[in-house]
Amino acid sequence: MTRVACALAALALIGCERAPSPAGPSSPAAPAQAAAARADLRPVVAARIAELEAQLAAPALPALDAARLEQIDGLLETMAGAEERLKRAAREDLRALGATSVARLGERLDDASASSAVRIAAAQALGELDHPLAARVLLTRLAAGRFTRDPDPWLRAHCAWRLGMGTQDWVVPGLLLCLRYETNNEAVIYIARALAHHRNYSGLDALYVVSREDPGDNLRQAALGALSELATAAGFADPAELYRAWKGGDERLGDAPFSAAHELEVWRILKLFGEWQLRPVDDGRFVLSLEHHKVTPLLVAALDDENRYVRVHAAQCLERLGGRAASAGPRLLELIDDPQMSEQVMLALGALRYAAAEPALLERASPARTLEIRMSATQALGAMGLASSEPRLRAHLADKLPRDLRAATLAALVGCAPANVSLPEARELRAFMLGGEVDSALPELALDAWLVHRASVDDGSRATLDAWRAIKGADSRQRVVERAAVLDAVLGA
Amino acid sequence: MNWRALSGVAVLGLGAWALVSIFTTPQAPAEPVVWESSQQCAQCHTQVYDEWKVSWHAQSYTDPDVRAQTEDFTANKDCIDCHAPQPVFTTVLGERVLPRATRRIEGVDCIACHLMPDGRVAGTLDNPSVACRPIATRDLLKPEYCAGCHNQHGTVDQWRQSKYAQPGPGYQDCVACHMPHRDGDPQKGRDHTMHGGHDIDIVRRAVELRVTRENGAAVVEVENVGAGHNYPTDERSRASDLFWRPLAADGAKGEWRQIHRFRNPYRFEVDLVNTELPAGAKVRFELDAPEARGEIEVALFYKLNPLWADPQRPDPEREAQLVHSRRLAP
Repeated sequence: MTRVACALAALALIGCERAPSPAGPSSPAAPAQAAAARADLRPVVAARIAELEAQLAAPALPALDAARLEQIDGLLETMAGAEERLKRAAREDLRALGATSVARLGERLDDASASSAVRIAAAQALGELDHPLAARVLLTRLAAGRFTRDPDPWLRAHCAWRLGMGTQDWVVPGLLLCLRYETNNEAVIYIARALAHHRNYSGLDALYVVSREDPGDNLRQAALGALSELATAAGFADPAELYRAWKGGDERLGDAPFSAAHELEVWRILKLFGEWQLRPVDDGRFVLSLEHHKVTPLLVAALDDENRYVRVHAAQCLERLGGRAASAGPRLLELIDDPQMSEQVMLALGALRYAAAEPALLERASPARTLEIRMSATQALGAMGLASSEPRLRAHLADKLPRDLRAATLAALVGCAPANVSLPEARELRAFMLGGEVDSALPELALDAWLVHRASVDDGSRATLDAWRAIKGADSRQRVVERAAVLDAVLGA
Repeated sequence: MNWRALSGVAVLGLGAWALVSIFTTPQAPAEPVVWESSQQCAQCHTQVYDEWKVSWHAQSYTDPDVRAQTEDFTANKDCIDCHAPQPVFTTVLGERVLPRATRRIEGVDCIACHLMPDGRVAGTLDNPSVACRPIATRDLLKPEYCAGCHNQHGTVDQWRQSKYAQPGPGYQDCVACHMPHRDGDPQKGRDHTMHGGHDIDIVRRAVELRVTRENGAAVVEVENVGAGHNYPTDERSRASDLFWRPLAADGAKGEWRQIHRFRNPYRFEVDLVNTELPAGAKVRFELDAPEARGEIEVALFYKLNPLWADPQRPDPEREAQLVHSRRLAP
């Protein structure tokens, strides 16, 4: 009996070994290519912030006694008066008081019961101090419109003006954020001017918008005037040339490194990328994407931060900086297989048009890779637009591809070799645009680029492009139907 | 029973188990599947897929309003994070979601919610032998699961502060209301249409509208009795407006007059404050217009888009959905 029991038990054990183990470490490996986690990550952002804060720490300012407060108020009243000689003297006296006067000047700036002239004088005095504390007060007042009902938008314009006259370049990120939310077009113009003073020309877009769309002739003219002035001051023939230079990361616009204080502001924004709430992340992405191309080394350094979100969003900013962040190419290429941001890194490489990345992107667009990787690599190749990518991309079209990837591959062909895109391929893009099986924006943008190319080589196609672009409705479902009808003249129904 | 008998029973049982193990073929683990589209899920989970397909999660990327506001997600790419997220389990439960590159048109889809980093899917049972190789995962029921997106506008925090989040018999989480069991039967699984603010019936259950007279004056009360979060929740888009109008003796109806708007303004609307009604809270309004002493109608409307065609003369009956309406005699 005992032997029988032992035999049965042994058989049972054999049976147990045959049973599959559904969970735990013995499970089959996932099919995705699992790149190794990086070992070189570290608290880059926190360390740099600590270092810069220690470097920039300033001693606390003494509180002012009643007599000194009265003196400041009196000087402001004098500055607000009409006598030019007395004004000058008052301004000099306030400058002599230095940063100790900042708190009182800030109070008068915010004092709604004070006269406009006194508040403007306070803004002027703060600006002329050209001190970090004074600039912080002005920037806070400028940003006030974001947080509270501000009955005095004109004061924001004055604050922006004064911020554009000093040497406190660290105000640039704050100015960019104000630009995002500012609703008063006069303030917008002065913010753009202040940014330009600090060699940041991201306000040009806003100036163009105001010059076209403001209902008042005065502000439209003021915006046009600002555009011309800024171009001349920067040494360019016209605003369009300056705009192209800025978007292209022209070295003529990058003469001096960021100050330590400016760098600290950038690191603080990068730290926000690790926040859970998207609002500061969105603001940060906006600001850093509009920063001077000198921000690139900081973003590159952040690609090694221990926080995954910091790395991903830094890569997104590099993508949005586009050609202005060209110097990031080599490091991005090294990080192309970071398992937590590979797709974002590839998109950034494409936007940067870093040609050295082409072989790596072509390999990652191959069938051996996961769909997400292939998709991002293909889009990056399209953005890079190298004709040498065409054969490999075209070869993929012979395979049965998931719809997203097929549409992306066709779109990438337009980017790389628009002249070689056949009418059947354009028709397929048209079908994708209308079909509702992929994001219509992808084929729509590709067809737009294809039409631009055709118009560049064939005057007869110009009318088609114009007709296509004249259809601007916000409802993409209707817009693509109308645009498809325009295309039919070229493609045949 | 002596030890011999006990041993015999044990051995027989063991033997039976061994024989079953030997002579039945164990189910082989399924081949790993590459998940490229939620349409793959429809092959087996037709009902769930069909429910999801008509849900607003399925339309998070294709909804014309969202596309118009983001210029088809080209001018504003920040919104992709939540409107076409990577799988929640890939970015880690409780963490913020990140955007994905493929199948964006499927929005918040089966894969976004169920795919695990190892290629299997989170479900209600373990089964390695079917294509999706599900793993029983209770995390699917946690509010943290929804928070990655929905708490970006504060909804989960609003719930956390409500009585519904307190442990005990009154505890009700996100899925209790928005993914109830089909026909109330746990055996039938959860409804994947995920009703919410687009379903006027669920909106109606969220609030009560009461009208009374106090010393002849009309008094209107609105109470959040059913939502486990603010009424309405979300930011920017949702708005609920309280109106009244006089009713003449001959049946003629006067113009609607706005009493209050419940809404959380968007970040750009710096001159507005958040007037949403928290869970369990109520607000009271006394109508002091002389006409309000006569017969009146009070109505609560709901809008998915906060804008009126003519802000000076809003037409709630045409531009909004009716939540509740009450008549009040003089």
